[in-house]
This record gives sequence, C-alpha cells and structure tokens, in this order.
Amino acid sequence: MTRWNELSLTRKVQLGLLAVAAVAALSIPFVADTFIIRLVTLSLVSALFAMSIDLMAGYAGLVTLGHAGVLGSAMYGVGYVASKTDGGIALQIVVGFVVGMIMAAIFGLMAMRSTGVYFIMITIAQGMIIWGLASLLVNVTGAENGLLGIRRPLRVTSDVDFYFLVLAVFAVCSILLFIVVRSPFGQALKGMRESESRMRMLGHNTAFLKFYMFLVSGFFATVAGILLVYLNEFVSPSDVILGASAIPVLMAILGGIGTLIGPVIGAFVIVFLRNWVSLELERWPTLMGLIFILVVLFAREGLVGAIAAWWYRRIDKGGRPATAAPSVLGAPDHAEVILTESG
Amino acid sequence: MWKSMRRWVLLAAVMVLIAAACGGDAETDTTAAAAGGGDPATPAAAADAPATTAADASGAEDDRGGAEGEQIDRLKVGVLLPLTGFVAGPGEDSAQGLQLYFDENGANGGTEIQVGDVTVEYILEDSGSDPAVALTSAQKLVDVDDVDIVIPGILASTGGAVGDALGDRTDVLLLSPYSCNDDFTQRAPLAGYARPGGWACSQTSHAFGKWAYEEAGFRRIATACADYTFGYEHCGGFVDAFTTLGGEVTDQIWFPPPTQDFGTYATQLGGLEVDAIMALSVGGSAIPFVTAYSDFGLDQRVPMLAGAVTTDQSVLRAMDPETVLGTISHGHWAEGADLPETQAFVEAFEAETGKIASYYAAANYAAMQWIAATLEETGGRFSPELWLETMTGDMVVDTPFGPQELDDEGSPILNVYIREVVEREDGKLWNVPIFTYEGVDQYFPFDRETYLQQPSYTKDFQGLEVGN
Amino acid sequence: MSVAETVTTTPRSGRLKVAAITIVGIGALVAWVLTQMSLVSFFAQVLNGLSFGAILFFLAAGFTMIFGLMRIANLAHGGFYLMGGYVGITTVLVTGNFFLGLLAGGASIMVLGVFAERILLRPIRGLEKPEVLLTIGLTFVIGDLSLAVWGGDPRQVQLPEFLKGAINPFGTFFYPKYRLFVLGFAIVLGGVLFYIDRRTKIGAIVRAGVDDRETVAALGINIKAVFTAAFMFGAFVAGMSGVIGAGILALLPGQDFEILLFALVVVIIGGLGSLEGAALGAAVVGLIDSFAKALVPELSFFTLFAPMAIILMVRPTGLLGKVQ
Repeated sequence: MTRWNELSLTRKVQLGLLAVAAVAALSIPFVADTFIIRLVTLSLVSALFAMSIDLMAGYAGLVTLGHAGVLGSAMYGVGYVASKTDGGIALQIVVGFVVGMIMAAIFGLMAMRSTGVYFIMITIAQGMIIWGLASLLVNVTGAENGLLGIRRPLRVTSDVDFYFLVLAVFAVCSILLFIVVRSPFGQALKGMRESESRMRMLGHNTAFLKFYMFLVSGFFATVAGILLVYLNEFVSPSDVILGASAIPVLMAILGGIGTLIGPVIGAFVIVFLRNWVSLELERWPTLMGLIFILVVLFAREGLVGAIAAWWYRRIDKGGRPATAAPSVLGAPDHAEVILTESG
Repeated sequence: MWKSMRRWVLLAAVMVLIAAACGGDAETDTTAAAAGGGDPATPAAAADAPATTAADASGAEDDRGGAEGEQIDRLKVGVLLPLTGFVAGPGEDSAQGLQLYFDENGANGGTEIQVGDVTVEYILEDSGSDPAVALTSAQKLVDVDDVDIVIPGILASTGGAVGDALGDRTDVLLLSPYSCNDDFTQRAPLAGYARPGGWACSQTSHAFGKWAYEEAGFRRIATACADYTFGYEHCGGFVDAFTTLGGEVTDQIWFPPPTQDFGTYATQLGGLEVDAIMALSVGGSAIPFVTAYSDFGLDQRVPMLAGAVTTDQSVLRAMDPETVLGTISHGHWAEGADLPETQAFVEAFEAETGKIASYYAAANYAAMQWIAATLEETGGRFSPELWLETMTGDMVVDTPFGPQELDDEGSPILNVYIREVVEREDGKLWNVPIFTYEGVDQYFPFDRETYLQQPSYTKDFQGLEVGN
Repeated sequence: MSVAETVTTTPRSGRLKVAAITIVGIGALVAWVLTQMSLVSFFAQVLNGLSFGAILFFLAAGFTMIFGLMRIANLAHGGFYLMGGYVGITTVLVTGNFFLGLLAGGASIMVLGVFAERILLRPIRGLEKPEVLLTIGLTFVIGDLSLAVWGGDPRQVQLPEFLKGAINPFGTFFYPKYRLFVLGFAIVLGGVLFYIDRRTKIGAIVRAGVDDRETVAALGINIKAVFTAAFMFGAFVAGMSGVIGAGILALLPGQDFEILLFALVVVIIGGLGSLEGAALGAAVVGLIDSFAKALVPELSFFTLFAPMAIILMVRPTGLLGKVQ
C-alpha cells in the first residue's frame, strides 16, 4: 500500500474526484425525485454497457456496432423465462447470462478473423441478425409486442432499492474492468490496437485473443443487459436496433475512448441530454447525429482527453510524455496516460 | 511469482466482495426502503408500496382511489406519441388531432381547456417509436408532471409496455385509443385501463368476415396478413366469423410486418383459386403491398378485402389512385361517412392541417371528447376507479367515429364500416362506407361466454375449429 | 492496418473443388425447388429475386465503389438512399416526369456527397474508424431532417403511365412492367460501369487508385479529385436508387437503416470494393430472399444471413473480394 503523500498530485485529484462521485452516488436517492433516480440508474447501466464496448473499441481498437445483440440476448433470456414460463428470479438470471454469453461466443467466432472496417461491418450484421430474430420469432420474443410481465426481484422492486443494486453491481464491474485492462490480457488488447501483425509475430494468436475479448466484453454486456431488462421490466426489438449499438459507442467516444471513466461520463451526458432535451426539442436525433460528427471531427479524445490535456498543460509541465502512441481514433492520447498510470 | 499471484488474490478478494454485496442485499434493501419511505421527496412511492403488494396478492380487487373520487380543479393528461422513428407519421396525425380538440375548446395553440370548473391540460412526450423510450417518458409523466391520465402511445408494444409498467400505479388511469390487443379487455385485462375512442383488434374484422359471407357472397377466401400479434388477431377475427358462417379459408400467408418487397407473395397469391383475398399490411408495408397487388395484375382477377389500417388515410394519401381505387376495406373509422360528427371533424382537421384525417387523428380527438364528457358526468371529481365506473356506465359519446359507448371491460361498442376507396370531388382519395354494422361490441357476432371459451387468436389458432 | 493481414488464401487446387461442389449444390437446390412449385411460378420467383436484386445492385454499386477507392465504409448510404428517394418523389409530384425525378434524386445527393466528402470526411482522411463513425452521425441527421421536411407518412414514387401495371404475354403470366424496367436498367448501368472500369482511362486510374494510391499520386494524377469524383458518383447512384426503389418499396423513417443492412449484406457476400462482387452478391441475396419467402417463410430472415455468416467464416473478404 502506498501512502497518501507519496502519491502524485494527479493521483490525489483522481482519488478525490472518485470520493466525490461515490458520495454523490450514495446521496442521490435522498435528494432527487424518482424520475431522476431512474435516469441515474439508466445512466449507470448504459455506462456499464459502454465500458464493455470500450474494451473492444477503445482498448483493442476494434469498433463494434452490434454489441446490443449481446445485451439484447441476455435481456430476452431473462424476459423469456419471466414471461413465458414460471421460472423464478434465479433461473431468469442464469438463462439470461447463459444466452448472453453464448451469443458473445458466436459473435466472437464470426468476427475473430476480421479487422478494421470489415470488423465493423460484420458486427453491424450480427446486431441486425439479433434484431431480425427478435422481430420474427413471435413465440419466443413476442416480436413487435415484446415480452411483458417481467418483474424485478422482490427485494428491489422500488426504484430506490433497484438503484442501489445497480450501483453495487456497477462498482464491482468497474473494479473488475480496471483489473482486466491492466492485466496481460488487457495489455495484449492494446498491443493489438497498435499493430496486429506485430502481435502475431510476437507469438500471439490474435484470432483467439479477439475471441476472448468477445467473451470478456460480452460478460459485462450481459450483466448490463440483465440490469436493463429489470430496470425496464420489458424487452422488445427496439432494444437491439442499430441505434442501440451505436449510441453506446457514441457515449464512449464522447467521454473519452480507451479509458474507463470516459464511457461513464459519456453515458451520463447522453442519457440526461436525451431525456431533458427531448422535452423541449423535437429534433433529438439531429442533435445526437451532430454530436457524433462534431466529436469525431474535433474531439476524438473526448471530454476526458480534453480535460487531461488541459490538466497536464497546467500542472505537470513536461512531467508527462506529451504524446503517447497513436490512439484508437488516430490522435495523440492524453486520456490514456491519465487513467492507466500505475500508482 | 508473487506478482502474478497477487492478481489472483485481488480477484478472489473482489469475488468475496461481490458475495458480500449480494448477501448484504437484504440489509441494504431494508435500510434503503426505510430511507426512501422516510424521505419527504417520495411520499407517493411509499404510499404506493403497500397498495401494490396488496393488489398483487389479491389479484383483481385493488383500490384505485375509491368510487367517490375527489374534487379536482386541474386534470393533467399525459400523452405519449411517437414523434420520431418509424411510426412518426401516425404520431404526427395524432398530435394534430389532439391539438385540434384543444384549439376548438380553448385558446388556439394552447394546451389547456376549461371543462366546468376544472382546467384540463395535456402534456405531450415523444415515445420515439420505441417502448424503452416510452417507458422513461411515462415515468417522467407520472413522477415529475404528476399526471392523472396517461395515453400510452400508438404502437401495441408501447401500449403494452407502459400499461404493464403503470398497472401498479393506482393513482393513474390508462386510456388507450390505439393499442387494440384483444386480451387487454378480454382474457387478461390490464388494471386501470380502458380504451375510449379505441377498438379491439378482432372486433372490426369479425363484422368484416360476416359481411364477406352474407352480403358479398364470397365462399372461398385466402388471407395474407402481417406475421405478428395484430395480424393474428385482426385476421383471426375475420377467419373466425367467416368460417363459422360456413365459408372456407383455403390458404393463410403470413409475411413479416416490415416486409417491403411483395413480389414473392404476389406471385403466390396469383396462383390461388379463391373468390377474394383478405389482406392486412400495416404502415410502411401497406403501400408496397397495394402497389404489388395492382402491378402483378391481381386487382383485375381477385378482389382485395383490406384490413382496417391498410387503406387508412395515413397511407392512402401517398397511394397512386390507379392502384387502390375501388378497394374494399373495413374499420371503425370512415372519413367519408355521412355523419355530422365525422364530417365536422374531417373539415376542421383539413382546414388546420391540409390533410384528410386518418384514424389516428380521430382516435386522439375522440379520447379527449371522452375525457371531457366523463369530467362533466362526474361533476369535476376524479379517481381512476370512479372514472372507469362512469365510462363503462351508460355514457354515450358522439365521436367522429359515430356514437360510442364502453362495455363493462372498457372496450368500445361502435359502428363498423365496410368501406370503398373512392375519389372525392377534389380528386383526393378517401374511404366511404358502403355498409354499416351498428353497435358492434368486441365479441360480435358471437356471444360473450362462448367467445371467451376459445383461446385468443394466434398464428395457430384462427378460430377454424368453430366452423368445422 | 491493411485488410491483407486478416485474409487467408484458398489454395488454387481447392478452387476447382469448391466450384464443383457449388455447382452440384445449386443444381440439387433448384431440383428440389422445382418439386415444390410449378415451372411458371419458379420462373416468376426468379424474376422477383433478380428484380429485387437489381435494386440491391444500385445500392451496393455506390457503396462498394466508394469503399473500393477510398476505403470508407459509408454508413450514410442508407440515408443517401432515403433522402434521394424523397427528393425524387417530390420532383415527380411537381414536374410529373419520372426520369427528371431520377436525376433530381441523384443530383441532390451528389451535392450532399460533395459536402460530406470535402467538409466532413477530408479532415479525417485515412482514419478508418472515425470515418465510419462520422457517417453514422450523418445518417441520424439526414434521417431526422428528412422526417422534418417530408413527414413520417410512408411514400412511394408516382410511376410513368407506361411502367404501370403488368405485362401479360401468354394470357396467364402477369408480370409488373416496372420490375422488368428496374432489372433492365440495372443490367445497363452494370454494363456501363464495367465498360468504364475496364476499357477507359478513367477506369484505369480508378483501378490503380484502388490498388496503390501513393503511386497514382506520384504519377501526377490528382488523387484527391479522383476521390471526390468517386464519392460524388457513388452518392449520385445512391440517391437515384432511392427513387428507383420507391417504385417497389416504400420510403419511411427508419428505412435508411434497413436499406443499409441490405447493402452491407450484399457487399459482404460479394466482396467489398468489387463491382462484379456487388452484382453477384445482389443477385444471390435477391434470389435467396425471393425463394426463402415462398418456401420457408418462417426462416426467411435467417436464409439471408446464413450464407453471409458462412461466407464470412470461409472467406472474410467475400466471394469476389480481393484476396491480397
């Protein structure tokens, strides 16, 4: 264990912010109305899903636009047991988990040999296959009508209780993800982002690496899916449309791709923007599209990157490498530095 | 060595933490619940909790604000409509129908009207053609805006999801002039739910099947319907009534609801030896279906009997007259009906928007008429229970659809029109009734008990057993 | 990172075997299909499949052309289709001329394409992923603005009188004139594109640009101008295909994503960047779609994706994609 005063200023600020966030997260239910609590819950679930995508898009440099297929499979797994059989909560979760993981494995097998734009297009097709199944298999998915009658576990039926459950799962998953990205596996993913051929020459089987990546990322997407289906108590094909996969990618980029905190920030911004702006503004999709375009054009490192750049310019003049290796979106990557710095 | 082990130790520690977190849930929950209950910001949630459990436990008997209701001076109606996404077209029509009612009865462009001493206000939210979005919007309507009535969107999926989610809210009344799922008012009634201005999916097509056999004299028919719940119920109603009378349904073709290229199906239909084809295609697939029917020369050989929304104004506006003129369809809405209420509404709507009113426009208008009429009937008192009792009592409201009343389950008794697409004097297309069944309830032409004994219509059960 | 790295080559000796198996398989399939339906309906379904494939070819040609040259997977292609279709419908309503509508639909999207290429895509030239993400954002904007301008009601284009209705050459075989027109148009366009590609100097430059951008630039050819021209052309075809498609399919919000999906399936099966691949993929997808709907309606969606999944696993660059 390192002592507090041995920590760098950056790390101190990080820990301070984390503490503030934790206090805020724990106190929200006591100051906000249930609608806000619901939005925060939705943000946390979206954040978890966006982080699972970021593991692929940000760390491994493989952008997926079909991950809602994994999330949605888990949701349908839970939903099917809940609404078509009399299986209990435990069975619902187990089935949801298994279906989600199987789908992640299938996706992985389909996409593990491709890269770059091909990878993106294959993942789009994967997501759309799940959408097609969801809209066509009436007996299993209820098609357009979706699956009704899903209920949260008895202990967490109220929005406040459910919020705490989501918060707890989110915290645990964040820690797990933190461990994953710093593990040799996480390093290998990053290596693949820099150069897949180099990784292969170093003796890595990159196809298997991608397959494992799908499993690990799929795990978190599955967890997010199970939380989401209990949050909405409903699942329908619109949970697996292309937008459902693309928007979390936007969240990750907006916040700062290739970092863990970025998707979280992005998720909160997008969820709140959507639900507040759409009250006033009918043209929400246009706004979202413009955010997409502007972020890609001017802020590929996202909010985290921008803040990190500003911070290092101010505090650690020359103390940090100004540029790291080319990041996932082809720009110098300050965000990388601030979050993977080892203590 | 230690370094790599440390990671596993850490992982194990985290696992223990998870286990602890899960095991600790019970405590967390109780404290959270207590905290939530004690929090002045969420009295509604706290008050709801016991009622919910009681309702769940006892099944049907729940307390929805008592039969007396309370005197109110403001009634808030939360309206969810798809203003974006793939049903944005009907959503826009609905919003305009709603606004027309408020324009006529209050200030132009306003969202408030005065009914007696009560101010009625509507709050519109975008459901984005997406049940998940609709759920969040519905939550906002009941929690933040504190609405008394929710109109849960157009899509059956949205209506079902919101109905399911708000079923526990005993302080909210759900009125749906759109989503028509039979069982919402039949075998599995939604709590606190009625559909003034609406219909049951198989209600109108029951009458259509009867007409096809008795009035048109068809004996052999094939169906081509969208492969989802609405298709099953709507076409099932037709098949059930038609076969019960002695007609024969030779083939049933099901196509996915979003189908756009109907070449394959048109070729198949062209090979059938039947008197007529009952067809249901919805929204974006209605126009390609009708075009294909005409392009493949089917319209010259076999008459099409169209479902309730296949030639609705929302799609008829964009159809080529040559492909669709003369098509027979049916529904509880006929914009060309010779009723004063219908024509007054159609004229006013057209003056405001330049469009002939679709069923979606009329439905929301009718729902607002029902709300105002019920408010007058109760003398400005409101509770969901009181309102459901009042509405299902002996009220009759003259809507653009014609006179409507609600049966005991909250489903309308209404006119069903057999319609033909004709050209109006100015060249625009509209549906004009050629035959009318009056006072059709959701079981027509069967009696309630017999009808409820059979299962709800699915792809596998189209009521054929009854006929054979 | 280039595509080459991910692709494994099929040994040459294996090719013949694959071809033989394919031919036998297709033969068996056709024989089975013929036991299920009459020869007349078989013929009609082939026409249905090919005419739907023709629409897909229009779509995929523009997409694959942009990709082949610029390595941009233009996900706004569905949006281009949608907006081009709407512009065409409005033009036909105003002028009453279907072919003017085709031109207007194409030209308007060409202008949009120039804007997208010059202003939005040029600053991130060569960064594959940002390009893809930007075009997704563009799709949302195009789709929503189309909704704002044209409303959410489904629309179809008004066809000229001589393309309406069915031909009936033998008295019992009805087939829509318009579908035959679309099929013919696709064959003509395909032929012209092949001619330009193989027999003209422009084609030579474009093909060289696909293979080796640096060398082409070093030869003093303005590769940027070639890019812009290619993007313009691809956008033109996309916009025009919207108008053509709107004679059979309907235009409505959300159609952009469905159309994009079809384009993706076609180019993934056929091979990205290959014009022949687009034609082959379009025909395959169209035929599969048509016959699956007739024979195994419950599985029709699967039958579209199953071949794609198999091809992806066996040959990640598609049937006729370059194995580099």
